[in-house]
Amino acid sequence: MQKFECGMCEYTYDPAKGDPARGIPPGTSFESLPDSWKCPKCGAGKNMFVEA
Amino acid sequence: MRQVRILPGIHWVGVLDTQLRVFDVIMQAQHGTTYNSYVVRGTDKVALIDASKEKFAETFLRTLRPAADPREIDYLVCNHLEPDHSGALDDVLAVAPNAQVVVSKPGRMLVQAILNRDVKPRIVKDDDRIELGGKTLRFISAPFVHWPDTMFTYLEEDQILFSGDFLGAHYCDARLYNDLIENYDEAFRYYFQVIMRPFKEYVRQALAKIETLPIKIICPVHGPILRADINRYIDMYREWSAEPPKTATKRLLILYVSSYGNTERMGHAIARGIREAGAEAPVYDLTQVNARDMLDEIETADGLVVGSCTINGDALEQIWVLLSSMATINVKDKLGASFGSFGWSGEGPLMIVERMKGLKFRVPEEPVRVNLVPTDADLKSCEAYGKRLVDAI
Repeated sequence: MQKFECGMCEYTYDPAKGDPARGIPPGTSFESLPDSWKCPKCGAGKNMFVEA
Repeated sequence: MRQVRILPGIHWVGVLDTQLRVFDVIMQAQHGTTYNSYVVRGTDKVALIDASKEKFAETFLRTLRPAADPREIDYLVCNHLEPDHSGALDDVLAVAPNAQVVVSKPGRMLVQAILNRDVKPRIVKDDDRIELGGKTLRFISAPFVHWPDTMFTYLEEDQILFSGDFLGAHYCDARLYNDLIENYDEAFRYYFQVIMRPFKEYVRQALAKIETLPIKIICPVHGPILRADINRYIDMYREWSAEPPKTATKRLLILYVSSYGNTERMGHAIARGIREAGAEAPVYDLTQVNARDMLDEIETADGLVVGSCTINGDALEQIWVLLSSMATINVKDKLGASFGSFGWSGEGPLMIVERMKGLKFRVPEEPVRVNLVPTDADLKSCEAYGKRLVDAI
């Protein structure tokens, strides 16, 4: 699955890892993250992410 | 105001905003401010470092022209894209057809959102250089001081640091240089507190990056240019951005508002419980102290316990001032709790913990709420609540 990178900081969302600290299990694609999900590092919204 | 020559080939071409009293809605600016831009002219190329606010575009271009014909500008460096320095970008680019916008990687997204068109900017990374001919611009990535795209531009030959908002102040004085004006430490400190304080960790990283650079002049985008006692200003940043001291004893800070003394009695009972459990529990009435003056105490405490009665289904105004002022400090994972007496509905404490969760406090328990006058048993419950909070630290 495609990784996505935060356009504002260096965080990369890796679907294989998910974001367990925020209740996102491994295997969750970027597209299926809830709209309320935010960059864990800087708080930028989903729309600020680009394909890594 | 006319352009000011800083060194051969380097001009200040900013705008003085003497009338400004409130900046960005959130900030007092009793001394006005300046929007500083700089022209750097090499033997081959000309760079403009940062632009201005949209409403000053015309004034800015008037000041710029005697220092550089806009058509001569090869590079328009945006150290960060906040609109007070990028708002005039469109107007500048309209008369500077040869200028390539230079931004950091996050800046690319922001410049697109400012101009709503693709200007194909040049993306520079940390330590990249642009040669102007006898003058070399080196870019230093300094994210989140205070925008994500922030970078500094260092002019190697002249040892000038164009530092963006970093080491700036809202302070307007046409004499421009820090050694020509009276002491403005208070404005310098206030600017740090409001703009840089939320990003202390990044401030420390940025300071570390410039520590070994020889710097003769610091040119920020707001307020005086620093050319005397530069280290004094850097030291102030170092002191203010240091990690808050960790106390050996656990400490929970109690802040409350109370209409009839019932919430107040609950607060003191919770404090007793906290102290019995061996922790400190300073208690403050928010009608007697200013919420913003409590930020240092909050930052050094292990947690915050906020009490409010409920009036018209809401917590009181002082509470909201407190909760909104905490955005400038790091409260992540501090313990949060709430309490309050109420007449018949009691939403106040519930709203407080919801906001605390939004601020990333760790809220281990539901608030303690009491209908009107607390009984002895209620006060015992408050004490027990205080003890449990200490256990949860």
